[in-house]
Amino acid sequence: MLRFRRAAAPIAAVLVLASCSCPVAEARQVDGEEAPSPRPLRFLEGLRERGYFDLADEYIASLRDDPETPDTLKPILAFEEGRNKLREAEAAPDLERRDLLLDQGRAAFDAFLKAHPSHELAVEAKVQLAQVLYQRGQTAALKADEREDPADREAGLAAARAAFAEARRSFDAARADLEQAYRAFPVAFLEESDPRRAARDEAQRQLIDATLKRALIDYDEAQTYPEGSDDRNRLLDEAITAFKSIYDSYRTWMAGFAARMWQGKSLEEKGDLGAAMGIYNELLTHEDPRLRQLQRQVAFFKVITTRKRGEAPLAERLAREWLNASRGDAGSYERLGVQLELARNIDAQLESGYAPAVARKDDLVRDLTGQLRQVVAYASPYKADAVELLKKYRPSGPIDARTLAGLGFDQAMTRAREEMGLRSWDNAIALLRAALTKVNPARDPGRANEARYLLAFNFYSAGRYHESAVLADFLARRYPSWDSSLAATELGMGAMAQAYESSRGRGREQDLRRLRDLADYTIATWPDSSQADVARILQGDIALGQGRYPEAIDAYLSVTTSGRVLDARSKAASAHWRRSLELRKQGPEGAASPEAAAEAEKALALLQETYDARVEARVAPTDPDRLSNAADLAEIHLIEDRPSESLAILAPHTEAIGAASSMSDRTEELYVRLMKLQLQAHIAAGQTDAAISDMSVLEAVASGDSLTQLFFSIGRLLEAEMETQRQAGDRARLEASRKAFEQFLDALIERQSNQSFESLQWAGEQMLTLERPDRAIEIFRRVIEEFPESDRLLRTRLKLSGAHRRAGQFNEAWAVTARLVAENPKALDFLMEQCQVLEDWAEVEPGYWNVAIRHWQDLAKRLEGARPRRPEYYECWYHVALCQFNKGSKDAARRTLKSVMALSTTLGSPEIKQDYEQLLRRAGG
Amino acid sequence: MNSHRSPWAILAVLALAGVSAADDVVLVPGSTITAPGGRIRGKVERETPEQVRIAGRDVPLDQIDDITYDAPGATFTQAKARENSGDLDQAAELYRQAAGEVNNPLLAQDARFRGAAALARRAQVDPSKREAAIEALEGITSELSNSRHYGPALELLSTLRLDAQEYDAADRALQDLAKLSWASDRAAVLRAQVMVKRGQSEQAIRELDTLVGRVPEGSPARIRADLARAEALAGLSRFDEAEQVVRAVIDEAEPEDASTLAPAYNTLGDCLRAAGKPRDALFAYLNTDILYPSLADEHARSLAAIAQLWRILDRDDRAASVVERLRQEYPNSRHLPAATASAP
Repeated sequence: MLRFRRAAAPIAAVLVLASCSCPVAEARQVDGEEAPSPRPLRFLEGLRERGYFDLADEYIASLRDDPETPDTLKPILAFEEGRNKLREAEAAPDLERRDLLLDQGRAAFDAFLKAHPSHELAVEAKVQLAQVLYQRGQTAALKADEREDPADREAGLAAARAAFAEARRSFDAARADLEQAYRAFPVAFLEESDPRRAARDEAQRQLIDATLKRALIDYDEAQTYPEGSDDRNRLLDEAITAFKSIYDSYRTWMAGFAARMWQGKSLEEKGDLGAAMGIYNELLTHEDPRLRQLQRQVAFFKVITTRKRGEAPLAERLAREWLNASRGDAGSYERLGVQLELARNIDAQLESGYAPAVARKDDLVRDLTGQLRQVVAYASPYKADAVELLKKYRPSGPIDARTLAGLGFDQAMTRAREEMGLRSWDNAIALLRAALTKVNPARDPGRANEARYLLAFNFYSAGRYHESAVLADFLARRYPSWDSSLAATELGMGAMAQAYESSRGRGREQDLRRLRDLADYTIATWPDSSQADVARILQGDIALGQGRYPEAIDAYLSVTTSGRVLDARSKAASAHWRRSLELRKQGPEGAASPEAAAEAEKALALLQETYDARVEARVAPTDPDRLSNAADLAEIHLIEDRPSESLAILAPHTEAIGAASSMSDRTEELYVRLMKLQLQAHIAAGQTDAAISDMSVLEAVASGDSLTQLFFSIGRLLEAEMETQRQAGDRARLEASRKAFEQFLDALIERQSNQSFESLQWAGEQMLTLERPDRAIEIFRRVIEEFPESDRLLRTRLKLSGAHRRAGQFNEAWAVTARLVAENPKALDFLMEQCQVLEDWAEVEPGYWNVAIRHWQDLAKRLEGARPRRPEYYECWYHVALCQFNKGSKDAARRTLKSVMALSTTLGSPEIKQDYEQLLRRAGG
Repeated sequence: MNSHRSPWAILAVLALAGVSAADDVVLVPGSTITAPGGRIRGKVERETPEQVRIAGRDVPLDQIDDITYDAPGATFTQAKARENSGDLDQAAELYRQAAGEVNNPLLAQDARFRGAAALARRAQVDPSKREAAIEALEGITSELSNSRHYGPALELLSTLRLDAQEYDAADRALQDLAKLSWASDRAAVLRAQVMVKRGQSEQAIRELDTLVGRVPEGSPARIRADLARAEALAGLSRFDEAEQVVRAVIDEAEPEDASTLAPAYNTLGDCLRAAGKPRDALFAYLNTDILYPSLADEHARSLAAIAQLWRILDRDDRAASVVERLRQEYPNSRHLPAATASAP
């Protein structure tokens, strides 16, 4: 499936076109008569046009520091800085860097708007901010394209959609301002000498520009859905309508032509090839030189449409014409796209047995593989399809030794890169090893290191982490001044971390030690690099995993690079929180430790800070990192008895995800976590209806086993919450929590619709936890009545017995267990429950002690033969001794305990052993 | 329809025809000579190394930007077209032919000079052509020493001699140039530059100081002298003084005065580069490239310097793209060899 995605270079091209959205004819007339902008701004623009974004940044900084910079210029510098970042992001081939630049651009525009909310450029700054969000969506979509794992890919696409939704909202808001600004001008004809005319034209230009960009979001978002899907078609329809409307209104404007092209592209993707071709041909007939860049893109689209129409020979010719006319832009996304199209059309002709193609098959296949080898050498949206097609035509299997021996260094390196493009790691490794035999590392360390680095990368990709780590570590330490040493150290740390994760046994410790060593070395050698921050985060992770919280916190808080700082600070918060919990456990029961409270406060402050930073950065409310941040924050508020604060944080996120049409696995996982927290918070706040509604949402998200798991985990969460309150000695809060929980359970049971086995079963068990066996009995009976066919009823009946027992209804309990045992005579759970019924009964009617003792003894003897002995065996003998003790036979109890303790030192588990020791002490042993 | 044409209309057509058939002297921008549209049309009556007489008016050579003669002929026109398209070898050959074909002796001299100038431009890019160019220019200085081309030929000759590091010969040409009243200040500046190349910066500064004291502030000669002085100061490693001199020129100039600011920023770049500040120098040259690209030679000079600096700053990719621009925009620029040469 080829999903056309507009990428860096074409995006830039279209935006440039769109921003020149003045009438073409008019633009020609006034060419060269444009009013001169201040010299510094013209100089800045010149730097940007040349791609010297680093110099542009320096220049802005120098203007900022220069006391002679005019006062009128100073306020604009933040705006210009934002534009700089945005323009660089458009051209940046590295997607991580693009994200970083977009974030910096966003911060600059925010700073400008904050400092100068009424500046004449304020509306433009808002449009630029929307543009940042739009590009963030495009970047997320491109990143998703590069992921191999479908779940990862879907997560990336979901992130892209979230960013597009944010961008759409921002464009709509900005457009309203632009519209208002434009409408403020008189509608009547204005003389050319009237200064309002230029201002009105500019306002109109900005409005059209924003309208076009808004429509492009629909088109881009459509690309995130599978071809032919309802979502994709719906978005394409919306885009077609918007593009048509822009073209109809501005037929002679550049923005009109751009809209017309995208209308054609959207129609083509919806399958209306005739209409699309008509538009493309119409655009290609224009002779205005200003349209040439756009026509280049149109010609590319025409190749695609021709192929889709099944006219492979014609499409092949058009692709060749395009490539001949656009030499010298190797590696541009457009060119790579056309190269792939050329290969596809050759393939189609050969596949269909088209005689003229078959007659020159050898030449065509050579051409096809040559084109595709270039495509796979670059990261682009076309790479995956090119790899697939290339695999079909290139010989498969390992490269033989004779071929390897015959290759020179450069040949081997070129071939290795091709194999890497095809993800053929073993062949690439063989080629790189061959390359290393052809170079003298002492004489030419640069070339040797290049081969070594690629070799380490291939080892990593092939899952040979130890080999990768050793080689990368060698490069980082032996050649610290080499260009790619930093990249090598990052690769080495990644490889060692993977080696640690994937290995078992004693070697693991060694891996961890090596990882720490390399991280230390990285920080010491390149303290200001982003790789040093990767090392610091790794050090923090290791310390956190080993419970060395203060060290972890120090490591995380020393991270400074903007792309990683939020993640690091969130982790530092987690370390503070875990330290707080640890201190609570260590403290005396019922007394709140001031250190624990201080740690919790720090955790909360850090989480709030990172959360605010994400909100300010316009990170979408459905972004997984923001969701995780929100969940951590809400959890602390909840545990610290601030359910309303918790709810305030959770609501925008649960609403946003609830409104999303699809979500990735990670988002779903986070959604469930957020909903559970929201449920807890609603219960704690006494908002029963809202809690019931949360429960319904949770049941709709999960199903089957995961639903059971869900209820179990919610029960554990609520129990843990009450346990914390119990440990803190907060009786009043504990009682309030119990009451709120009980109220919620009552409401849950009483609801008429959407009642499931899991929800009722869970409610019954929670009633037992809350020591309401009477209500539990009612609920378990209802479960048995309403879900008679359920294969999980045995558990319900077992729990029913327990409920009867705790309600003192021993006859009923015995009847239930007797039937269970009769039906399942070997089921240990039921047999033990039966013994327990007798033991509890004996507490009320001492005549049952001997019966209970005998039953426990019989069960213990049944378990005696198993090797190793099960913990339940020791448990049974413990109950024998307990019954003896409660009956008043302390000696018998002591003898029983000692004889079993003589047989085993572990007694099945530390908990049982502890029970034995305590009882023995009570029995005077 | 009225078939009668007004006699006034006929007269007007004739007058226009007369004007369009005349020679045309285009004055330099901001010329001290007043003429509608900055040009004087009529018959060029006489040309000397000092001035041109047209339509009864004597115009000093330093006030003239270009002269177009009536009916230059197909070969001359073709030669001009080749020259404009950058094909200098072909242009020189065609000018040589045109000089033999035309009847107007002034036009023949112009064709001969243009041919020699084309060869000189070519020689600045390709040193193997230098001898031929020098020979052609010396032919003009000896055989056409009474023509208006004498001075410009001497200047070109000095440039080629300087390129060949023949400093004495260059200086001799400039001494002859200094004898022309309109070119004396210019020659003094150029001689100072020769001195700097010879390592006689102190002497150059003295000469330039004298010149600076003589010419009015803000005049083109003063600006040229200041910039040359800055270069001489940089040659003596007096970088702060050099920078101060150029910055004063920049500060005094009108923001849109490309003819001052383009060479000034380039000179500033030279001074900063000599002072070991490649990044600051880069910014200076970029001012010429971005804001003042209208002066072809200065623009090409800035591009060549930018390419070199990018190489010094380890950005070979950027250097290559600037060299490519220079090749595309100024294929015959004398600065092209410097752009591709290894950094100084």
